[in-house]
Amino acid sequence: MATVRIDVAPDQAYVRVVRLVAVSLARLNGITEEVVEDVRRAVGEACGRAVAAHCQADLDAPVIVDFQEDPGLTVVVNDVVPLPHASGANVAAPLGDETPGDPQGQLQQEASAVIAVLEGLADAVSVNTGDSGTAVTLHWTGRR
Amino acid sequence: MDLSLETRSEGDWTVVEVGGEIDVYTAPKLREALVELVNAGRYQLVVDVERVDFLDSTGLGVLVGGLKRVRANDGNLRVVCTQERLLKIFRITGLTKVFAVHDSVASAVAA
Repeated sequence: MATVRIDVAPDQAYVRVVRLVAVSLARLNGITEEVVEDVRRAVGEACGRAVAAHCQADLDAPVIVDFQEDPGLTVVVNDVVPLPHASGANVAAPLGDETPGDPQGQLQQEASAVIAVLEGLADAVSVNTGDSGTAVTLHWTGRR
Repeated sequence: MDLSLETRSEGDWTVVEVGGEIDVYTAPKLREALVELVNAGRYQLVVDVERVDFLDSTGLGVLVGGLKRVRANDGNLRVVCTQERLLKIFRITGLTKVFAVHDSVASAVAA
């Protein structure tokens, strides 16, 4: 069960608010200061990705971010972008520079880049895409 | 905190000093600044991120985009960064192989 849940309107301006909450909860859970930076970055990436997916799909619905203290910290970022929009390509939405050329290939490349970043920052990462949207789960074990 | 941008010339180089947070919200402002510089014929760029508190993948994407633009004109884009938390993101993404990262503007323009 989530201990904190935030509904985020699909506007990139609010992603930094989610980062602040993530940092605060990471500190509450005794995550070391060095890893707190990773939490800040990873949650920002995952949330920015979801917000961009909502904007691209022209959805007004909020992105939902669940924080679970379990021990350590688990953060689940849920978008509600239905298939077929929610392909792997969408996982990458925020990384972009407006490079011309093959947009689908570009998005796929960006997807791998975002996942690579998340895997470098969190202890465990999983991405589940279903009919009702995509959930990106990030987990940190806590004290090391 | 928002993004701050200051541009100045050092010899043949244009130095863009960035402060604040480069994230999915503010990165378009940096992209616009880099595009304007390239359109104005400035192809030797140093982007100084020493006063940046936060850099996400969108920001990295903008830097890569800037690098591609200046390279298309036989130019260079060098990054000044000594902050470990920012350097880590360059390493994770493999971009230390793409960008010349310097520890000062002086060393970037002298290299």
